[in-house]
Amino acid sequence: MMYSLKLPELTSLQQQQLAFAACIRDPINSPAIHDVAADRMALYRELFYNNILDTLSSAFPVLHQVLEEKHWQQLCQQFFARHHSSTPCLSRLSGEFVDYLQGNQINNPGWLIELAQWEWAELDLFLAADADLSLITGDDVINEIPVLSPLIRLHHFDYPVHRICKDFIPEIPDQQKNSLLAWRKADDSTGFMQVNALSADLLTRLQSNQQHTGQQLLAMMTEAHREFEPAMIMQGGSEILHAFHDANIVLGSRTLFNKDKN
Amino acid sequence: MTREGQHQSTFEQDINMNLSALQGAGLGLRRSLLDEIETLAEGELDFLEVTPENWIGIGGQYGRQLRRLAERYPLVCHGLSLSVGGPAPLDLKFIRDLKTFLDELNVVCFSEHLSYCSDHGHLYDLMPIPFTEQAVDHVAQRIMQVQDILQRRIAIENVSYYAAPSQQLSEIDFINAVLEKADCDLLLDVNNVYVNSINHHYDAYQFIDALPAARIAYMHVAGHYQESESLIVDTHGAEVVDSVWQLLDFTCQRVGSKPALLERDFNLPPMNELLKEVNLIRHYQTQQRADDVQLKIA
Repeated sequence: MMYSLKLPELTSLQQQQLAFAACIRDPINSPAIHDVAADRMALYRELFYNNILDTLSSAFPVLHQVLEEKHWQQLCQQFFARHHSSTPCLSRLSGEFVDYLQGNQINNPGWLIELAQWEWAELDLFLAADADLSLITGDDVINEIPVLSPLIRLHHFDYPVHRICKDFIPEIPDQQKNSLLAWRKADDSTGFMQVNALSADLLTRLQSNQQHTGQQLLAMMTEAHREFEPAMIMQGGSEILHAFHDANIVLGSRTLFNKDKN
Repeated sequence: MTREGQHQSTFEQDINMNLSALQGAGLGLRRSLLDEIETLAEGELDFLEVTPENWIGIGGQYGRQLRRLAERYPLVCHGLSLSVGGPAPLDLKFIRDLKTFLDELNVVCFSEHLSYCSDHGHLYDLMPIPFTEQAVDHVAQRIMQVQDILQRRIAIENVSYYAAPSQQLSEIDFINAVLEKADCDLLLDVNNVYVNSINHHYDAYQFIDALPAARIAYMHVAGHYQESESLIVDTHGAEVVDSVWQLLDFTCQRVGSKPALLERDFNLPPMNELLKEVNLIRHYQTQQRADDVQLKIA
C-alpha cells in the first residue's frame, strides 16, 4: 500500500491521522497531539512497537540473540519509524525488514544482513503457497527437463551464517562462498543444507532453465568447470539430480512440448 | 433505483443466506490451535473465525489444515489490515485477493474494524479514527467501496480505543452514523464496549441499548488487562471477566441470540479452558432463548 501522501492536498482528517501515526512511529521527533494525553499516546506507541518488536524477534531468533539488545532494538525502532510497509500480512513484514537492512547497512557488521536473509528464508518458505505441480509429467530428471521446486531459497554468503551463535561470530569473510540451501520438503517441514560449488552451480542453472534436459545441463557444466573430468561431472551431477529429486528440491520432469501437447 | 441501491439489495440477499449458516458459539482460529481444533468432536465449536491476512497465500501443512477445517465448520473472516478508515487509498489488489480467499473458503461473513491501521504504510494495529462528521463520510464511502468489490455486505466492529483525537461526535453517534450511511452490518465486540466504558467513562448498558440490534451480524467476547482503575488494555490475553459476561448476558437479552465467539490471542490456556468459555457463551445465548420461550408461554 505504499502511497505518498503530500501535505498541500491533504484533508484535515488525513492530517489528523498522519500526525497520530507519526507519534506512534517516532514519538521523539513528532509533534504531540494537543488533545491526546501523553500517557495514552505512550500506550499506543508501546502497543504498536511491541507488536513489531515481537514479530521481528520471533522471525530472527539468532540475530536477536547475537546482537546486543540495544543494537537490536535500535534496528527495530529505526525500521518502525522509517519504513513504509506494503504487505497486509504482519508475518511478511519480516521480509521487508531484510530489504530495509540491505538498503541501510551503515555501521552494521557484514554478516548481519546475510544472517537476516538466511533466517528470513525459513519463514518465507513457510508462508509460501504450494508449488504448481500441473507442469510435471514424469520423473526422468536426466533425459527430460528437470523441474526445480519454486520452494527453495539459495544463497551464496560471504560469512558462514548457518553457524553463527552467541559463541561464534565470524570476524572476516570466508575465502570461499557459503552456498546455503533452504527448501520445503515433501512433508512440509523445512530442510537446510550447505551445498558445494558444483551443486550450487547446478541449482543456479536449474533456476533459469527453460528447455534443457538434465543431461544437457550437466554437459554445459563440463565446459564451465574444466578443472574437473567431464565424466566425473556427468556421473556426479546425475547422482545429485536424483538426490535433489528424492529430497523434493527437484519436483520431477517435463517434456519440452508439454504445453503444446495440451 | 441507483446503481448503489441495486448492489445493496443484492448484498442483503447474500448476507441473509449466508448468516443463516452461522449460529451458536465459535472460536478465533490461531495457528497454534490448529492441531487441537482438528481433533475436537463435532459440536464442540459451531464456527471458526479466521484472520485472512494470516492465511491468504499460505500453502503447506497449515494451508491444508485450514481447508480441512473449512469443510467442517462455517467460517467467518475478521480482517486486520484493510485500514477502512485510513488516510491512503484502499489497497484494491489486496481486496481482490481477499475476495478470492472468501469465495474459495465459502466464508459466510467478513468483518473489519471501524479504525485505521496505516499511514503511508501498514502499522498492524488499530488507531482511533477521529469521531467527526468528515470521518463518518470518509469511512462510510470506503466501506461501500469494499462492499462493492467483495460483492457482499460486510460487518464493522466497534474497536477499543485509548484516545479520541479531534472528537466532535460521541462514539455511539459516530458508530451509528457510519452503519447507517454505509448500510453495513455490525460486529459487536462486547468486551470493547466494556473496555471503552471504563476508559472513557460511559454506561456500557446504555451504549448496547443505543446500537441497532438488527444490524448485528455476530459478536466477540474476549479478555483484557486492567492496567489501573481507570485504564483497561484490550489484550485478548486473559480469561473473560465477570463484568463482560454480565454485559454479554444483557446483550443477548436485548438483541436476541446472535452468533458469538471467543477471541484469545496471547497466553493461550489448554483447549478445555477455552471450550469452557465457549460453553459459557452458549449458556448466555440459550438462557436468552429459554427466557423467550417462557415469555411466549406466559
